[in-house]
Amino acid sequence: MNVERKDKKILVVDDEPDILEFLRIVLQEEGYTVMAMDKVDYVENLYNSTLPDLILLDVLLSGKDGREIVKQLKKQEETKHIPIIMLSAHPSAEQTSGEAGAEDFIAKPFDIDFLLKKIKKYI
Amino acid sequence: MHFQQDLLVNLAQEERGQKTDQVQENPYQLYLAAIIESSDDAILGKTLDGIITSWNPAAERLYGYTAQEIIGQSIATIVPEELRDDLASIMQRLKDGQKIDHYETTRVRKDGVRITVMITISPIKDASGKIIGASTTARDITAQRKAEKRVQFLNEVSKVLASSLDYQTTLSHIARLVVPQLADWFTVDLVDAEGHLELVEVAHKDPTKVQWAKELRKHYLLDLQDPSGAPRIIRTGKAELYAAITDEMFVASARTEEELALYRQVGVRSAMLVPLIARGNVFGVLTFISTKSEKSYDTADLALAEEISLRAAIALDNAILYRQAQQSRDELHAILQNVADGITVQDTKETIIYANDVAAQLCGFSSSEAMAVALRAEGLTGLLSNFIMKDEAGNLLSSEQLPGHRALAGERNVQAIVQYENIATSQTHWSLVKAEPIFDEYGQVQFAVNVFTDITQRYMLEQRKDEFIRMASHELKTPITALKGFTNLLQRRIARQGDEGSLSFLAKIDIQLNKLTKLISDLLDVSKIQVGKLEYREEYFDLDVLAQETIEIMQGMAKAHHLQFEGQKNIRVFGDRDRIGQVLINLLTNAIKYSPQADKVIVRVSANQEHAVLSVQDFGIGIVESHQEHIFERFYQVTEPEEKTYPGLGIGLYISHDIVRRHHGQIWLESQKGKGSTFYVNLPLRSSEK
Repeated sequence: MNVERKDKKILVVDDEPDILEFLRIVLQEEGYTVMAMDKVDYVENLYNSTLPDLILLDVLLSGKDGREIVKQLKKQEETKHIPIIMLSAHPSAEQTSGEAGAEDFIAKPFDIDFLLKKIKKYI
Repeated sequence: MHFQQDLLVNLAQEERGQKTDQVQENPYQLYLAAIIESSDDAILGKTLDGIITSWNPAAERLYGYTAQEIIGQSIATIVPEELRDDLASIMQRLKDGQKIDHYETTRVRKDGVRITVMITISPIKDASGKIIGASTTARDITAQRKAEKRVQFLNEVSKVLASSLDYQTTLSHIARLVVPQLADWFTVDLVDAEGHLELVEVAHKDPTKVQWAKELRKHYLLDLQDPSGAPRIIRTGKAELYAAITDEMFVASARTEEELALYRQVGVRSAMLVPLIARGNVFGVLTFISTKSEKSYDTADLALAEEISLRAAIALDNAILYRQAQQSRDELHAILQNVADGITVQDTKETIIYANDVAAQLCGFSSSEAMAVALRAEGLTGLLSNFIMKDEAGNLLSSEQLPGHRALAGERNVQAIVQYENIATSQTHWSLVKAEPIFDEYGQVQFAVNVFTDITQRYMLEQRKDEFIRMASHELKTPITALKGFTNLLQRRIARQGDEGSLSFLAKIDIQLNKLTKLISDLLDVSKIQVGKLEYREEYFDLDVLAQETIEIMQGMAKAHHLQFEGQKNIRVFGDRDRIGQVLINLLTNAIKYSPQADKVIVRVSANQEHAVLSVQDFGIGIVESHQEHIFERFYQVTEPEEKTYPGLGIGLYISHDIVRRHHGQIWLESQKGKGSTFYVNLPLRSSEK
C-alpha cells in the first residue's frame, strides 16, 4: 500500500457515479485527499478552508457546462490559482477547455497511469 | 417633223396605189417609204374621226389585220372596249395640236389577244398647218412588260415566302400569290411519309369551289404509279406544260364517267405541273390551272412557274424542317417536364436558355415561364443573388465553383452537392447537381446541361444520422471510461497480490476496451468527415520516427507477424502527426488482418524532391481489381465471399483517404489477388499555404 501521503486535496466532479468512484479509489490509493462531487453547486460555493489543490472537472455536467464553471473559477480571486484538468468524451472539447482557462485536458476513456502522470505535473 | 408627216401622207397614198406626180419623181420620198415599210414599229395613220388611212406591215403583224381589212375602219377596232372612251380625249388633244408621247396602253389583236403597246401619236398637218389627221407609232412591249412583271412578281414571291417559317402560313402565302393573277386553280401536293400524294393546299377565287375541291380529293387518292398527272411529275422531276386542253383530251384520259364529269366541272383549259424540289429530292407538285381559253399558258409562263416553284420549294422545305424541329423541341420539353429532376441548359455566356418546371420550382418560381420572365429582367447574376450557395461542408461557393460554370469551362462529369439558401424565405435546399458540357463539331463547348436532384430530405436525414452517431459516440465513451477505470484499478490491486494469471486476463480486457474505443472514435471521425469537421493540428515532424514508433506499438499486438521497417531517416513532413499516425495504424491493422497466412508486413519510408512516400506491404489475400477503385469509399466492403469472413466496418480506409487528402497527399494501392497488397501514401514535404 502506498502510504506516501501527499497532503494534497483533489476535487473530482463528474456526473457519472461509477467514474467518480474509481477515480476516488485510485487517487486515495495514491495518497491524495479526495473530494468527489457529482453536483456542481458545491464548486460554486467553495470557500477558503475547503479549497482543493487541483480540480478534475467533466465538461458536460447535467444542467451545466463545465467550461462556464472554469471561467467563473478563474475570475474569482480565491480560486483562480487552482489548476483545473478537464475531462470529456468529446475530443473537440480540448480546445474550448483551454480557451475557458483550464490548464489541461484528458480525453475519455483514459489510462489511469496517464491521468496520474498529468496530475503530478500540477501538484 | 412636219415635213415628214407630209411625206407620210403622200407615201401612204402612193403605197395604196394613189400615185401623184410629185412622189414619183422624189427619190427621198421613196427612201422614207422604204423605212416605213421595213420598220419594226407599227405605223398607222388616221383621220381626226379615227378612221384608219394607212397601215404598215409591222402594224399588220402587230394587230393581225391586213391593210386591206382595216383601212377605212375605225381605230376603235383595235381598242379594248373599256378604253374607247379615252379615244375621244386623245383625239381632242390631237386637235389641239398636242403630241401624245410614249403612252402605254392596251390594244386588241384581230384574234382577240390583248397586247401592251407603247404608242406615240402625232398630229398630221397639211401644207397650211391645219391638222388633218394623226399618225401613231406603236411598239409591242407586251413581252417586255410581262418580263418586268415577272421579275417584280418573283421578288414579291421571295419577300413574302421569306417572311415566315410557319408551314401553314407559307402555304397560304404561295396560294395567295398565284391565285388569281397566275391561275384560276392552284394546288400544292406533297409526298407524305407513306409515299402518298397529299393535297395540302388548294386555292381558287371562289371559296365554295375550294371546299368542293377539298372534298373531292378526300375521295381521290392519287396513285403514284399513275402514268400521268402529278404522280408522273414526282417520278420524273420535270415540269410539264399543257398549253391547250380540249374536251377530247378529257375524254381520252378519263378512266370513269365520274372523272370525265369532274374534268369538265373543273374546266381546265390550260395547265402547268411543276415539281417541288429541295435538297435534290422531289417532294411535291404545284399545279397551275387556267379555266379561261384566252389565258392559255406558254413557255414563258412555265418558266415563271418554275421560278415560283424554286422559291416555294425552299420556303416549304424550311417550314417543314422548322416544324419538325419545333415538334422535337416540344416533345423534348414534354419529356423533360415529366422528369423529376430540375434541368437547365446554359449557353457559353452562362445565360439559361432552357429550364424545366422542376428547375424553376427549385429556384422558387411557380413555372419555367415565370423563371424566364425573371431571367430576362435580372439575368443569371440577379437570380443567383437571391441565394447563398455553399458546398457540402458549408463553405461559400463562388460563381466560378458552380457546376454549370465548370462544365462550360470544359470539365466533364461535374458532380457536386450544393446547398442553396433562399435569402428571402430562409429556406435551405440541398441539391445533387450534375453538369455536363456539350461540344460542337469543332470540339468547342457550346452548352452546359445541369441536372438538379433535390436531396434535401435525404440530406437532412443524413445530417440527423451523423448527429446521432456523434451523440452515440459520446454516450458510448462514458461507460467505457468506467470500465477502463475499474479494469485499471483491478490491475493495480491484483498486481500487488501477484496473481499473474488474473493480471493477464485484465490486460486482455484493457486491450479490448482500447479496441472498442478506437472503433467508436473512427465512427465519430466518419461523421465528422462528412461535414468537413475533422480536426487537424499541423506541424513538422519526422515521418520515419513516427513509423518506427507506430510499428513498436502495433508489434505488441501482432503476435503472428513481424513488422519490418525499411527506409531512410530524417524525413521531415508537415502535417498532423496524430492523424498520419492514425493512417499508418489503419494500414497496418488491415495488412495484419488480411494476411493471416503470412508472417511479415513491411513498412517503407522514402522521399524524393517533392514528396515523402510511405508504404505498407502485406503478403495476404490481395484485392481484386474491380474493388480497388472503390476501396476508399465510405462504408465500402469487398463483398467477395472470402472477404466477408473478415470483420470490420469498412471505414478505416475512408478516414485514411480523407486525412491524406487533407494533407494534399495521395493514397493508392497496388494489389494482386492471392499475392498481397501494398498501400502507398505520399505527403508533400513542404507545407502549402493556400
